[in-house]
Amino acid sequence: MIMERQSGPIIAVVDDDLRILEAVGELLESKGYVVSLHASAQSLLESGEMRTGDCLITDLGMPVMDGFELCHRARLLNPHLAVIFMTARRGVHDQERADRFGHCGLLQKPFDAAALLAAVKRAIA
Amino acid sequence: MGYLAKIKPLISTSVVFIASWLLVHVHQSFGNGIHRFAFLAITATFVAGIIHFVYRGRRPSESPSDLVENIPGLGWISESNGKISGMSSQMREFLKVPSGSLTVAEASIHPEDRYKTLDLWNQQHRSEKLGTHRLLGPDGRYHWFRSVVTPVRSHGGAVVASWGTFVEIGDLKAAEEALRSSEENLRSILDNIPENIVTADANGINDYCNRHSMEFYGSSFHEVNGSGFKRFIHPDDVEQFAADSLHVVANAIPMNQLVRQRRHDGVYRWFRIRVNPEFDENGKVLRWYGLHIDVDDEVKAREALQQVQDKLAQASEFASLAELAASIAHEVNQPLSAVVTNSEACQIWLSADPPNLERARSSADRIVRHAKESADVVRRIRELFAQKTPQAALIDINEVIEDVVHLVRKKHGARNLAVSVRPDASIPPLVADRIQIQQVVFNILCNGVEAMQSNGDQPMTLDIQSRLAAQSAIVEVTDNGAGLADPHKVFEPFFTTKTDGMGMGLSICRSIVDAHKGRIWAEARPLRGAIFAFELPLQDGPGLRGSVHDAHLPKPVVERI
Repeated sequence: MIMERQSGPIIAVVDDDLRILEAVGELLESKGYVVSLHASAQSLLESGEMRTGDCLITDLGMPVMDGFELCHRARLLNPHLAVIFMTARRGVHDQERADRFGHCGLLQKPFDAAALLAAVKRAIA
Repeated sequence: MGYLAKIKPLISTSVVFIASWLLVHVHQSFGNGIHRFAFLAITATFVAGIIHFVYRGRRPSESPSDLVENIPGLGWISESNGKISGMSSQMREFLKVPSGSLTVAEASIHPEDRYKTLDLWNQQHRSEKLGTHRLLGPDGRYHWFRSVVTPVRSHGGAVVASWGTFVEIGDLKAAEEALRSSEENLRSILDNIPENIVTADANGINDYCNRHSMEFYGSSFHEVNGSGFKRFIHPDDVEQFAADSLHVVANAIPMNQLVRQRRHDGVYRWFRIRVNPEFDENGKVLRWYGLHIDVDDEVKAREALQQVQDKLAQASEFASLAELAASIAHEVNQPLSAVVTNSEACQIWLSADPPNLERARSSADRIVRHAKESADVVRRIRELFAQKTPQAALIDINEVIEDVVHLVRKKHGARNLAVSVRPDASIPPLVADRIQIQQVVFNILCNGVEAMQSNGDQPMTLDIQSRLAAQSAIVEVTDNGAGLADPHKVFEPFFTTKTDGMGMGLSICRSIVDAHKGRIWAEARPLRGAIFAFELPLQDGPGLRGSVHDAHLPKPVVERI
């Protein structure tokens, strides 16, 4: 679901929980970023935005296709895509997998706005 | 030849008579006196010859050896020294004894029977003797015969000869063989059936055990039969078994029951004993037939399965609670995360220059909405728990502790953890929901283990003690962990000092103990660690019963997720 489309860096946000999706979008917009919000990994991949996108913020635990799989597919389209992971799970395993992908942040929900914004700054620097 | 022998006296008499007649006629001229006298003498001689012939014809021929030749069967006669002096023509024919010979070839007698048969035939016997043996027939095959040897005595009583006859008993032997083989076959079946087969007389006294039984008991039949059988029944089962046996025999009804029996090595094994009576035409019991089937493996497997099922049920109870706790955490976490993020966005909208009030308001709206959702999650959980009706039953608190300690040891077994249990055996059973009390103990123990994670090299010790108070049973759990800063707050919902807990466990413990009209408390130990304790009223106190169904008991969850 594409909320807005303007010029400037595009940040894609993916989370199957609409409350988080909306809240993250709201926060990023309040800081002037252009966001594209998707409730599923498939929705983002089908949109084709990842070919030109600058940053992906995705939840890890999602049905059908999880955050790691999405990251893998998005990187096939856009090898230098910066990624920020969000998760409600706590696991060493997730940390290791995320590190192997390379990322600008692994955010544990609930997270501080400052942490998210700092990660985004790193991603589009 | 036999016929000639018989008529020989007649011929000789006739020859004498005819010769005399001719002589008399030739000498007729010599005078009438002599003539008449001679005629009378010759006639008398002829009559005597006839009488002699008739007389002899009514008795055996002059020699028994001649007579035996004509008997219509197989037979012989021997002299007093045992030597065969005559045999029947049928015997001669059957055994291929050449004419003129009286010797039976040894080869005609089956090698296995040879000595006893020669013994029977050649010895002089003082009384009638019987024997069976095989003889080689003209068809080249051995035939079974039965011999009868009868001594012939003189007037003085001395044995002067022996008569021998033998008749073929092939059919009889075949029938005997078939019977023996059938018996052997049956015995072999009974002995090789890999179960214990036992029979008893009408009074229920054992009178037969198959080989498998004997091998199982490792005893001779004499030890097993009669009433000795009871010695092999497990002491715990013997009384019941004896009573049931009496009942079964008295009422002539089948028996079917499980009993432990002692094997030769002293090990008791479970058997299913099935016994059926056999009746005569009047409905009276003739005999009892019993089959003892070794079902030990099945019984043990069933017991093991039951134990596994019990453990599984218990484990899945804990597992589902852990899952439930995780899902509760997620349910609460998601809206709270949204609240946090929205609040920060709201602040940013407000602090912008100029403030974007419209966006700030919409953020604030979402904050309110998501915060309410969080509260709803908690409310829904409470409602969910309230639907579960606790199961009140008499429980042994020490048993509950033992079960839970077992689980905790399994869960934390690898760690440097020493668990000691000091149960007070005088605590009577009390009315409670077993699963819920298990949850309380489990939560407190896990809490203690968690609190000791920061112990470092210092060993973790967990001490569980139960004791009887005036109107209640008390369980105390002492750990040497981090201790408690504020013992009163630990039972409040969402209170936690841990990084990964929800702070629900102890709160739920309190709800459970409250619902049981009990009390739960915690205290810090002076130097290190904490004591968690709960108290449950005894049966005659204000217990769970009566209030159990309307109590809103939350289902406990484990502290760790």
